[in-house]
Amino acid sequence: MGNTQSKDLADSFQAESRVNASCIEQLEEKCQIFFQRLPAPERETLEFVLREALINAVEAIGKDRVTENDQQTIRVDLQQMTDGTVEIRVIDEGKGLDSGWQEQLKEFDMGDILDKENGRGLLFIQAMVDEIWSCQDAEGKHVFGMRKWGGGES
Amino acid sequence: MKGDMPRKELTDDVQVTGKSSGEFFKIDITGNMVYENSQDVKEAMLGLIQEEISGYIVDLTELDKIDSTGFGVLINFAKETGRRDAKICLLLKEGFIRKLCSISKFDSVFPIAETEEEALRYLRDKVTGEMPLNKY
Repeated sequence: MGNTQSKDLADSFQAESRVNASCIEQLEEKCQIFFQRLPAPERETLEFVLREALINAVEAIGKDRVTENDQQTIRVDLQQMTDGTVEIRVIDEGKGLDSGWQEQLKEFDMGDILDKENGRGLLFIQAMVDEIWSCQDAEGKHVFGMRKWGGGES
Repeated sequence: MKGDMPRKELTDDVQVTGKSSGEFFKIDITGNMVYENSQDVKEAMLGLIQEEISGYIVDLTELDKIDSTGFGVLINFAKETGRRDAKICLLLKEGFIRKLCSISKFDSVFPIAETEEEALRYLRDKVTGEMPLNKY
């Protein structure tokens, strides 16, 4: 899933940051150039799910293990298709999602973790976009992808 | 403790302030309640818990941004106050954060008010969510 697009590309943007304590905010700030062109409700949703994906990436890399001299990076690829569909990919050198994450998403919902302090990130993402996937790219980096469908040709 | 407490400037991004509100206690959180400051916000909120208080209004009306870790902080606070049999009511405007409360089903855990008067009424009437945390 997540590797094909039947619609034409209307806009794209890429941002990258070294992994450090402020990399999520840095990437969010860079990506505002792309998101600010979107209508407010869609922008809020996509900025929210991007943050959740970035938190997962930083956690998977292990923020506490990252030193100032570390060269690890997180990259965000954003694409908008002519039908309004927006695709977000977060690419990092972490270990990726735990195996079985898709089954866990099918098995649990927000009601199952109401008293838990953690574990809402992926459930939020699942609830707010139309497709999510996880894979490795040609360089062996972990890719987490999300797609929110558009309403039609724009 | 009565009256306003000094505003606690946690970081440039978030402030947590506590003050009395009638017989209850109101905690205002302004700015961003996010991954980067979640530990600081958690500690600041826990530091405002008082034994004699039976209800807390957590005012999120001036909150600009929250992420999943911010929701975790609210659950942590609810557990700690729940151990003292205190109730919580969230104060929220319509908007994106209210929508997130619906997606996360927080609106079934906590009563959500749009005005301080409504929140005080919920606390006085001991209104809880449909699925309060003490049911777990």
